[in-house]
Amino acid sequence: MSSAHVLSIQALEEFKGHLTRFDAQAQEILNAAEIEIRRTLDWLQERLNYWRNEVRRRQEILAQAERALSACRASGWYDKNGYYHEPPCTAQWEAVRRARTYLAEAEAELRTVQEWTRLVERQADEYHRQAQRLKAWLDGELPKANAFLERKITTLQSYVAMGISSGGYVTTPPVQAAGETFATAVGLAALGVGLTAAAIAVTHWLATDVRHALGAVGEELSARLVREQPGFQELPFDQPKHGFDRVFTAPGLPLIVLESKVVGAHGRAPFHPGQTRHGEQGSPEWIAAQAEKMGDPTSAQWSPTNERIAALVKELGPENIPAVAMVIQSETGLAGVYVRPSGSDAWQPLREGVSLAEALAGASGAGSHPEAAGSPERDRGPESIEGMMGSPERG
Amino acid sequence: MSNLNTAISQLETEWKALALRWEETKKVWTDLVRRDFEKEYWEVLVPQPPAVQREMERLAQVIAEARRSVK
Repeated sequence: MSSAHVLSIQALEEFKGHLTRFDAQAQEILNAAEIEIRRTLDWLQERLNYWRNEVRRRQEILAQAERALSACRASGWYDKNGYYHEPPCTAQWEAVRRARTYLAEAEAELRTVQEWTRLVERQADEYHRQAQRLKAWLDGELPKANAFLERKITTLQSYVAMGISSGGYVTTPPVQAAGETFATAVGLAALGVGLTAAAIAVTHWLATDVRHALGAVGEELSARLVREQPGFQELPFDQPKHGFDRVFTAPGLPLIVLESKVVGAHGRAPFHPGQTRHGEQGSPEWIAAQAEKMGDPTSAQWSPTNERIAALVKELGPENIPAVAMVIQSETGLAGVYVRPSGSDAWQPLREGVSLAEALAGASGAGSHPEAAGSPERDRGPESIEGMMGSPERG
Repeated sequence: MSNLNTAISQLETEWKALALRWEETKKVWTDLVRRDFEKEYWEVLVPQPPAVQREMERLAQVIAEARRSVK
């Protein structure tokens, strides 16, 4: 575990916290702005109603004044020559003039309210266009961003929990990792350099797995053997009925998927992985499909531990995850180890013709377990284990 | 200060704090995954709060003038 991981976890958690806080605050701010806009538009509407009423009321006052003026003007008299003499109606004329001014003022105020209502509405529309974009991001993208960060944090926490010191994927693509390790062997299998020890190590480990499947050796022995292999580290994983058999890590290769199977006489080299509806077992497509299920809480493959593995698959990219297949021929008792290096679709033999009996003996010698010796299944031959480690139909 | 002006001020403060935190985070999160996050999420968000703030300021100005003009 490097201190960089701790720093990264802290930084990511703090940033995620700030992002969440920003979400809450921004939503509150947008709501406050919305309330202010609504309040302003309500106030403008109230003013609009007021001035409309005022215009109507003042129109009525003007009408009354005009009627009074008409009545006054009609109250004149005719002289002997037939000329009509209109009364001065000064007060009525003045009342009409005042009513017209009064009405004009209300009409001007009404026009002002209407104009500002239009301006406020127009600017509110402009604001809403931007605010909706931000709100859409907060509602739709921010949860995804948080989930992204959470996956990253979980991945780093997995490294912490597993005590992995390389963290190679963080800064170095897996294929660039170097060193005389199994990881190197997996990445550069075609070179055939230093592979024997790695293959035997895998065989020992898988032989232990066979015995585990037979019920003769417990998890503790298996884990101990794995720890004893240079560069190997088994990752916590809840093995589901379908999916990966085991997962482990090695320096420079944060995740290696293990598939194992037992074949009869028909299962001769070259090795052919089983076909599933998600592609070949061990292929990037198949790994991606399994990871999807392991990360889906509604799937039988889900568990908190498996979700971490799924997150790691997504972080690394399924195409960057190598797969190792252990094939045991039940009739001959010989085992073969094959690898599909990261970035490749082709399986390559890593070691073939490894004696399972020798491997089992080596495994027993490497880490005896009290329960192993007394197991009634200890002496069962390899021919009886066919199908116990996963068939090609798995997946 | 109107509620809108308070909102503008708060948005500016919150956004600055988040942007500052991102700069700090970038210093320790330096892998390809961070670039994916930056491209997919952060860079989409970056122009939005300032744009909202600008429109909010214009709106606050229009509302203030309306309040002064309308009787």
